[in-house]
Amino acid sequence: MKQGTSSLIEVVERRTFLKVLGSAGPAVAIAACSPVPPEKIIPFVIPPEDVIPGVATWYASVCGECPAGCGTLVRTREGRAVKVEGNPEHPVNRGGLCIRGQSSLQGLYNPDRIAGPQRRRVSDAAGRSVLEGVAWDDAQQTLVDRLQTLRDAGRGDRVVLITPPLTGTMATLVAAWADAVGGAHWVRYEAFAYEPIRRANARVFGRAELPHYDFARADLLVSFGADFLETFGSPVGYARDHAGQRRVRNGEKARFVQIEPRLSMTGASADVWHSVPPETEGLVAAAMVHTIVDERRAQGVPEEVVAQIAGLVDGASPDQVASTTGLSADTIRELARAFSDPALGSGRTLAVGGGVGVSGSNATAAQVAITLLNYVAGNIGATVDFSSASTLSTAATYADMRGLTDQMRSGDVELAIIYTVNPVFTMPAAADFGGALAQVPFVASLSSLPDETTALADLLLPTHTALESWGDNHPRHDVRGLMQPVMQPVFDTRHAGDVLLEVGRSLGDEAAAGLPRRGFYRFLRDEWERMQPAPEGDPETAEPAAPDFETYWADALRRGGTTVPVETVTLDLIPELFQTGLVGDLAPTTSRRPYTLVAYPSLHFFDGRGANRPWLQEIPDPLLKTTWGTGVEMTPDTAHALGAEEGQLVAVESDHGQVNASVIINPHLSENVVAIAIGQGHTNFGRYAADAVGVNPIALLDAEPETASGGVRWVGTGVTLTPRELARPIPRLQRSFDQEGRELAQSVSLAALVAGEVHPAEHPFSLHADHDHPVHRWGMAIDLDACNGCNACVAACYAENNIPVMGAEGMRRGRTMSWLRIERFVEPGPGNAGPDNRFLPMLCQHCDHAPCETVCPVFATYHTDEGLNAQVYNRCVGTRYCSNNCPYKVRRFNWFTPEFDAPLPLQLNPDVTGRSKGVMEKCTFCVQRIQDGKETARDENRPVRDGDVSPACAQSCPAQAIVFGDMNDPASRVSQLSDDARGYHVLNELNTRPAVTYLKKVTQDR
Amino acid sequence: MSFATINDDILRTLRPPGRVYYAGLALALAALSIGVLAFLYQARTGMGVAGYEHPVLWAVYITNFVFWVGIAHSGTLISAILFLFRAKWRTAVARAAEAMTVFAVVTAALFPIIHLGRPWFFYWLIPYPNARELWVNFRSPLIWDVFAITTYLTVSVMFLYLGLMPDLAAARDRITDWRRQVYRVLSLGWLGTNRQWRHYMALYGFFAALATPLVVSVHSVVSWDFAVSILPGWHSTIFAPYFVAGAIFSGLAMVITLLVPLRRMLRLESYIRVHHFENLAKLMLMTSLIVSYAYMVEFFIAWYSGSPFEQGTFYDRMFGQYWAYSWMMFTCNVCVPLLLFSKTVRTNLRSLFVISILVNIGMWLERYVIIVSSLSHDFDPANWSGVYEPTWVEAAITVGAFGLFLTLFLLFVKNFPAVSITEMKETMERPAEGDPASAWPEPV
Repeated sequence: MKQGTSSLIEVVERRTFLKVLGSAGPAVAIAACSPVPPEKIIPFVIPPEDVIPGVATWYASVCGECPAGCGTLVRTREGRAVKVEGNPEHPVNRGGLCIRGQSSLQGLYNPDRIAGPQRRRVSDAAGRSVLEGVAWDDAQQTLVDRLQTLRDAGRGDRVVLITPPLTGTMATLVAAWADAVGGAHWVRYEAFAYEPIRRANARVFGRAELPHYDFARADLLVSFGADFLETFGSPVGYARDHAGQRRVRNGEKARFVQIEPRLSMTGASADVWHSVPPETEGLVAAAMVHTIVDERRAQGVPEEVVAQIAGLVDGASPDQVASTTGLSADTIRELARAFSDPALGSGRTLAVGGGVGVSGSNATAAQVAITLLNYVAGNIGATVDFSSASTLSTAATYADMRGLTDQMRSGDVELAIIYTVNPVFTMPAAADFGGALAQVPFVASLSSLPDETTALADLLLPTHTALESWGDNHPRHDVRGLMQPVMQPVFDTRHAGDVLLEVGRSLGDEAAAGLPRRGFYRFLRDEWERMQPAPEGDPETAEPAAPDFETYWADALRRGGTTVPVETVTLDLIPELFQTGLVGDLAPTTSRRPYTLVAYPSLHFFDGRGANRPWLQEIPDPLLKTTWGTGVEMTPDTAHALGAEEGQLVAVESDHGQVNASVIINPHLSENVVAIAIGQGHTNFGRYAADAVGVNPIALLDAEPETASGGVRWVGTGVTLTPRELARPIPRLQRSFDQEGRELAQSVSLAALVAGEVHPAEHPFSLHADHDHPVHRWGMAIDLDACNGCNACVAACYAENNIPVMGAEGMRRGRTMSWLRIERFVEPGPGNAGPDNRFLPMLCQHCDHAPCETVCPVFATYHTDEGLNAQVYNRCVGTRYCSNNCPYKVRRFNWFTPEFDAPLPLQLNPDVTGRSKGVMEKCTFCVQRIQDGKETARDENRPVRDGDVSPACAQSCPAQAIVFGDMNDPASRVSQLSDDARGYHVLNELNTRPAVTYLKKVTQDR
Repeated sequence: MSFATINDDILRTLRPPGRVYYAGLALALAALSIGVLAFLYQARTGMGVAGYEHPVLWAVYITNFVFWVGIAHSGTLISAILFLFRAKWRTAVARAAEAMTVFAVVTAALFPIIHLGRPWFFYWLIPYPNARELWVNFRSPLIWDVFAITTYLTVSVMFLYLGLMPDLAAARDRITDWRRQVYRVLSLGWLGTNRQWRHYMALYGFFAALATPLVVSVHSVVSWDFAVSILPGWHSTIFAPYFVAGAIFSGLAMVITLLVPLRRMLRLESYIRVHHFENLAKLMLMTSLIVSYAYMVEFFIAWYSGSPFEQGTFYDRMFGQYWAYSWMMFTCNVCVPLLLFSKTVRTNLRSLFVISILVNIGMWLERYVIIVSSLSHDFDPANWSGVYEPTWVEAAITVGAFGLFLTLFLLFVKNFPAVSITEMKETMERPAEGDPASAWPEPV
């Protein structure tokens, strides 16, 4: 036998073979005894294209969670989506993504999803019925039969199709389909359709649209209850623009004033927060307009128009509104003067009225006043941009839905098809949409998740979620996003477009003629080919480029869409505006009930659609830090007057309904106001929504819409509170918002910063030698001035690092597993500027002198030569001493072996180790992403560049408050920020020498 | 009383026990079984079945650990230090105290393991050579604990055994049942020759000298689990003497708690007498005063430091959500022992028994308050938790620990002389001349 060239067969001698056999035999026997059934592993003969095991594939798509239409990049591994991030190239959000968008993965893998088509069957003589699984063909045929009957009888117009406000190709398809079935009635329903804004713009400019607000150009922003960092309009894009504009530049910082009855997360970032009674925001705006026209400060407005506007706001002078609004006349005047300050220049301010925040019985009048305020300050066409207005304007009003409800109740609707939306939950209970829907002889649902509406359906045709679908999205006039499926469907679902097409085509040749011939994907491509702009000629060679659709399509897919050129819209006041009064409509309503309810949209649940996602339930509310539940918020004074305590149940009764809600003490409410977040209190929305202790404020609302706009009156319902002898506390992950002088979240005044009085703190002396970091030393800088507390980073961390949820019982004991939390502290603000809210994202500080490292008896935690505080799960025995000695308390102990309900485990990131019970874990600075960045650099044969590595939290931040990089590189952004005058380390006196530098919040005294 | 009656009386305690004893033993074994089952449940399910509330990540188990280590201190104090000081009154109580020491250390040593997230890997805390070249972190106080506890356990066992050796020989010569073989082996051929006695006494003195520093060192090391950390309420230089005094205080209380019923049960009233209890009570009073002083110093330093963290923690300890525990602790450890200034109180076994139990409760609460209230109110107010409440699992394991301790103790007192025969003879009063019983008793 020649050495070195021996083949395997030659090497394996008889003895060796027997040895192997001897050891393998018992191993097989032992394996056979285990209770886990053996699974066959079959390798790919022909591996799928684009799938390299261990290498992530990214797809650009569009988020389908709300009408904002943010661009996403979806990371897939081995054919399954594991993370959704914002698309940096997409004009709507440019990189960030909100907590709801990131949680879309838990919509995709939701264990409660409808697994396949189901049909209702009467099961017994009493008429009770059950849903039973059927084949897709049978299910579609059921719908076809029903439609055929109606169509043949000429009653195709008695079919109703309720969808979200679809745009793009899907809208084209649905419109064609509605015609094809014989004139079906198509209603685009959105719970938060901002009817008063649209109606106000129609009244002022003759254009019922929701404009795009340019926060990036607003030197002074006055927001009337607009939660534009949470749910209003396009929150991720707005947050980015707003944070960019609010950075200190040349010793100046844009100012932000929020006026609202309940402190919102958005309001928490304001320089000045004014608390006003509900429904009085319009009076403040009118008084500001009054001051501006009265003092001849209107910019670029002709004299006669000024006079007409003065006539409109006559009777709303600051002195006249002061008592109603609770703001002093001087405050309003000063704000008006600042808003029309010629020094800023025309069109450099912005007033925004909330879509849900300003939605009382005078909402349209209030929005008119706010629009006029923008008009007199010259903001229309500048910071208020109608050329790239939102396509949400196509949504039906709530009044339309009321009309539909009446039709259904009177039997005019014989078949309803409901796609995705859940009006049974989101419409005021008093409107009784559910009761009306029950009158409809046949209801088909095209939904991926079971909810209160699908519970009433006779036929469930489960559809793909956005992550499994082809599609496009046209959120603004200037943006057309392209949506592509990122993976095979998880369940036996179909694309809603394909279902409609197949059903439509089965109705006969006549119907099929009006519909696209091929499937939805082909239709989408055709539409894009039709819309492909004529290629521009090359300016140098003057030769026209060849129109190549495949290139255009591939490019659009890669980028996640395309922008569309829009014409600049010039608007002027329409004369009809001055034919009706304004001030008379601005008066708030009075109720015989002592308290006023504010129902506000939840950052986590929006209109309730997020309630069955464990991340959204478990991650604490940004302001109240409550988890797994909502309650009735009231001030300490109100609670005292009632004799109620935090957690006590209180019966909240309005003229239209009653709910029992747990008391949550929230001092930042206007007098006699109680607030309840929208989105919880589901009755039929899956296991996680059922686990939560929630309450649904929609049950208390008046069914009558606001007269002028037809919108829901979310605000202003009179309620009575009756304490009950029961307690049901909502778990809160932070109980004290007072930092007791401990200076954890620090701030600095703009004046002191500009005067150069601020210096970074120096490290105290240490006896210990510093660690050696020969190549990299990873560090982070977090700008507290930019952080708005939106929890996007927290969700990103959950998704990236396989963090389990522990449920309400776990939260009661503070056992969150989150590696990153956002602490909120409230300091008294200067003068009457309202509370000074500070958000402090707290994660492992990766200390150079880490207290956790010295106390671990088994070296399970140690300092790496790249400056990371590493945790070795395998070595950890679970003494928990490290957590006790961590002054930041960022370590998390695995109380149990984590459990993820199937198919949620498909979301788990294969690059991150799973942890079992009994071990400690914590932030790793996303070491897997660091490794990925280093490997990419090595593959490209270059050193790691600044910006190559970005942890999940930094990547997701809409406000770009988190910067990560190599502190060994003096040119890196993080190095420079660490030396910033505002830089400090939390608990510096302990000399832990963190790798995380915080930049102090900048307050303005004005 | 003659040497013979001492032999008779003490070896009589080894005779088959009565119903009360069996009932007690059954109760102890039942408690032990409950604890074992609870621990198995916890190990299988996860530490989450205990009531831990972030950031309170140490609680009842570590409280129990420190409590039982504390109990273990009086034994060595009585046998070693008082032996070196020639305090002859110790004789009557030394054996029981030593046995208590050993069993308390055994009980205590279980708690750091019970409290581990992954108890099956407890041996990773022992520096043993291994193929993976893993080593322990000698900078961690938990490793110091491993050494302190194992050393203390070794020396306590040796010391107890050494003191027992002549008595085992006496038992060997008297007992006729199966235990005789055991005594024969354990007594190592003791004959009571002059040479043996000479060596024995030298060795005993040597062990006493060796054990004495351990009384101070072990609980100092245990206190450093806390003092070496940076947590306000733990990070304090007075912790070592403060904990040692507290440990002796609680240990003495436990000796009294155990001896009052024991002397009745074993009918040893003529050996363990009231003046022995009085001396224990005096020692207890002294250590109580040291502990009270330490409490005052802690609060003074917290105020004097000017640190908002220290001040916050100690304010919270008095008036925060654990106030009731703190005030109960002050009452039991500071106020109640002051009654011992009265001779009437400290010579009345009933009142002494009650006081000793209150001190036991107070000292358990002291550790509970230090651990739980400090952790719950740390540097960052955003973390401050609600009230930590132990679950049934923690309660069951705590009860199980008492079960284990009592089981071992009860088995000991029925199988080994609970009072030292040898030393009783050494220290007994010489009979007066002319007394009919003046003839020097027979050697044993």
